[in-house]
Amino acid sequence: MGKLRILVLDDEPIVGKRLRPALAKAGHEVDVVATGAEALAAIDERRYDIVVTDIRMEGVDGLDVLRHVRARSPRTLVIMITGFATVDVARDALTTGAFDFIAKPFKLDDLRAAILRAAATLEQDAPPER
Amino acid sequence: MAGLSKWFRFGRRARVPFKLLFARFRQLLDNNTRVLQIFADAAEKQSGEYVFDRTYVEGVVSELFELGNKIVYDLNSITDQRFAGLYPLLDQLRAEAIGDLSGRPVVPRTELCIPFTQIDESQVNLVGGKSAHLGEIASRLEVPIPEGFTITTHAYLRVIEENDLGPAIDAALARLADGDDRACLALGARLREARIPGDVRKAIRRALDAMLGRRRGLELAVRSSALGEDEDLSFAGQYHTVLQVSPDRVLDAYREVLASLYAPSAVAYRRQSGLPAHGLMAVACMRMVKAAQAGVLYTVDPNRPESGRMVIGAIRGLADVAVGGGQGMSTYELSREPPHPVLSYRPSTAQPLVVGRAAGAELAPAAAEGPELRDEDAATIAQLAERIERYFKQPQDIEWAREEDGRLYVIQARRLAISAPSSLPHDLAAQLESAELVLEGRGQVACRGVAAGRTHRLATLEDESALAAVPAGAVLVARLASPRLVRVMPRLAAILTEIGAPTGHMAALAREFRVPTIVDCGDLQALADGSEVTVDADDNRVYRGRIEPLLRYQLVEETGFEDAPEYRLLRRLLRRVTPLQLVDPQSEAFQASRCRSLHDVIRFAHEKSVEALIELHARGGVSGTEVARRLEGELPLNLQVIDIGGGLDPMVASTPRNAPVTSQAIRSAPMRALWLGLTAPGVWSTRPVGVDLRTFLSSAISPALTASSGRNLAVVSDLYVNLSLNLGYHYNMVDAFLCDDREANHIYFRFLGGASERGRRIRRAGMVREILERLDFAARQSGDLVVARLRKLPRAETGGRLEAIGRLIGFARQIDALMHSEERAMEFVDAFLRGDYTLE
Repeated sequence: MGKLRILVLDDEPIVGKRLRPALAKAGHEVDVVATGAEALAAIDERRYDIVVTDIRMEGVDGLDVLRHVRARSPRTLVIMITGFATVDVARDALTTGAFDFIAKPFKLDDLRAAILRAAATLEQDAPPER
Repeated sequence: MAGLSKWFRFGRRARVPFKLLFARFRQLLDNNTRVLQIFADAAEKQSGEYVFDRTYVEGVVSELFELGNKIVYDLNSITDQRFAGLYPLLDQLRAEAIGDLSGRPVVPRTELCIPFTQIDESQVNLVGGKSAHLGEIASRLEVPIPEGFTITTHAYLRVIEENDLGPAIDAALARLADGDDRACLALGARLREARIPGDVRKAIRRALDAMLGRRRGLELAVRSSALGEDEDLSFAGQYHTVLQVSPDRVLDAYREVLASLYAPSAVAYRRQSGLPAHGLMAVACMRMVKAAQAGVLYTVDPNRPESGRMVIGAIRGLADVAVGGGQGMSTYELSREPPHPVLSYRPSTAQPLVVGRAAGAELAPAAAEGPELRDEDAATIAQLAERIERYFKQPQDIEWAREEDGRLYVIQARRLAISAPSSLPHDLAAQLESAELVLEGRGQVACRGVAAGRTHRLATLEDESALAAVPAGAVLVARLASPRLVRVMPRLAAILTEIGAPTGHMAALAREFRVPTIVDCGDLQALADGSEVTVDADDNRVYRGRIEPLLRYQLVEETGFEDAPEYRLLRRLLRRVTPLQLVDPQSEAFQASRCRSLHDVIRFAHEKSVEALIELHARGGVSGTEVARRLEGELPLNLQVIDIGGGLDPMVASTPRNAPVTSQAIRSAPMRALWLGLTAPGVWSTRPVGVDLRTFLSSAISPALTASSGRNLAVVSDLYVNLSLNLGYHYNMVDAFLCDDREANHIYFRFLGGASERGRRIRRAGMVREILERLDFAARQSGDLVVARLRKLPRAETGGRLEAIGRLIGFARQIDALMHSEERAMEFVDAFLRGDYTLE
């Protein structure tokens, strides 16, 4: 797997805190933001290979982010993180273009596997530029 | 099931159909198991493998207490409301848990003073962050700290109540919010004059006596340990510390520290930090060390984090250690790598200050010249510091003091703030590529983390001296994941085992001691050579050599995962709900009023519900087979049988109610299968003990079981059995349905506890799980609990498994005393499956 640019969005600080070192250690470039608005701005500014976002947040939520990504950068894959109460929403998200979803609480390995799948998909579509 | 329509008198008031009672009983058992499983799941979440958030912890709390309330409700409906007193206990426990979640801690109204040696992190609401941290270091890491005790937040609340200061505090806070600090200052003055209630005085006196013994002339450091302090926030300088306090002046110093709680700047600091403006103050009283040398140690050089060096500031003579940014101190630089050689020494240039006031160390005058510390003494301090850093996974700022006789104490340890960006290794991934991998993905991570050390192969677990010989900082390589390793855990860098499970007991201990651990790795002969390795239990890898960038990388994470607020919350919750004190149903202490945790409550409810069903039948006004009948015969189990339809020979109904029935009267198909197994030749053999079967069993089980209030109950119908069998303290619970329709068949088996020492109980549970899995059950073990299910097998197979369960129950009972080792347990698995119950 090549080096990927990943954006992590979650309003629970622990998620970003745990994900950043785990992903950065594997050599990926990781940005962590805590609000949907910051995420939209980050997506406008940089192109990400993968966006990992919680589905349910105050204000701009994960589905808004998903729609924004689909509009701005169709190549970017979105992995949704859901609380156990929002599995239905996650199914909707899959039908509206999310790549995958993971229910909280999850193992870091589960996310790693989802990212590996996403990376394989990206490579199939087009070899990474870096 | 004609019998179900019968009604019998329940208590003195109502007639409740047995069908309903029994439904409640089964529900109670189900919920009981669910609670135990949530305990196990939540404990597993602590490995660091999981990402979870506050919502998860909230979910666990609400689910646990919902189940707890259902269990108590069901118990009370079975027992005519005899145990309604359990509701307030659940409410109290729940309020404490929710208080933690909401950041408005609930103070348990229990101890007034607690010695440091009895403090752990779970008591943080009583002792405050600073004391909890010190207690944790002393108990988990065996790091020496000076003797002392903490006057709790409960004592603080007693002071506020005794002096009726509640309204004054509210008013002062309101006025401070309007910019007027005079009321806060006046409040401080009132606290300095406050009357200390008699019970608090007495508790402090007792704690002082216990600490001082016959020693005279000791002095104390009396320091704040407020809630919120030192946990995530330093509160540097906000609260008072009083040093060199003679024992007869402790109350004055105590008042002085309390008064600082409402200093305007302290209130402002709390507000800015998002803490409640109302503070809670615990106060730590620590013996002042007569230090020959004292100082600080930074486990990472804050100015050059990548240099791989530790820094010690040391001083002797009369000087102030805590203040002055190390002025007047000599500086040692040591390698971070064991054995921590001294790389440089720079003597103090400044003149020592005149007044001796270290944070907890009184410095003895000294005239000697030359370096303050010998190199080996510096290395000893470094080793202690390394142990603390490894545990908290963060660079540490440590205050130490060394007495004339060489005894070393840690007086305080806190996180050392270093600027992370400059120290992030940029190309870690590339550096790891080039490192030599010894193991990758082979085992299962039991506790995350990264650590380096020399491997030490432990040949046997049985030999105490082998355990004692494990060097500090070693990466322990063992064949089995045994709880016996707990003895050396405080000094280990990491653990690798060939066999073991992340859900096992050793894994739980490793998490408690925060030792990076990978279990179930398979053959580890390649690592038996004492060479240096780096264990990366975050990524399930082991590298050859010491990979410094990787070790540093974990230190620059903002907080180690164990210290993330969510982990803390979960850990605190578990320490509140999971400890089990009520283990022996025969003891005097087995009472509702003695329940302290949710675990106590559910164990108590289980026991009492079984008892109640039997008693109800014993005194109830029902006729026929639905009365509890004593089953007599091959085994002295004092088993009562309740027939809810076709489970016993109809002839039984016409015999006197107190007349026993024999096993020939059993018509229940699943009960017959179980009984066949229970009575299989050899299963209850007592040959190793060499006494007659009946005598042995009735004495070994427990005297009360052979008396009239037996606790063993089978509720049966023609196709169904629900059996609760208590042998010693250990429970077997079987719920099974057996008929010609395979879709309807099920066996549910729960095995829990044991009368012996925990290590043996867990080994025995492991054996039971292994056997059940080989018999096609889906079995899960956590600690000494095994839960197994089997469904939808044809009649013959299901019956055969039930018989095997019967044999297993008998077999497990007798081998308890023989569970010396893990190897032995596995031999018993094979023996059992061969049908060899001789245990030789």
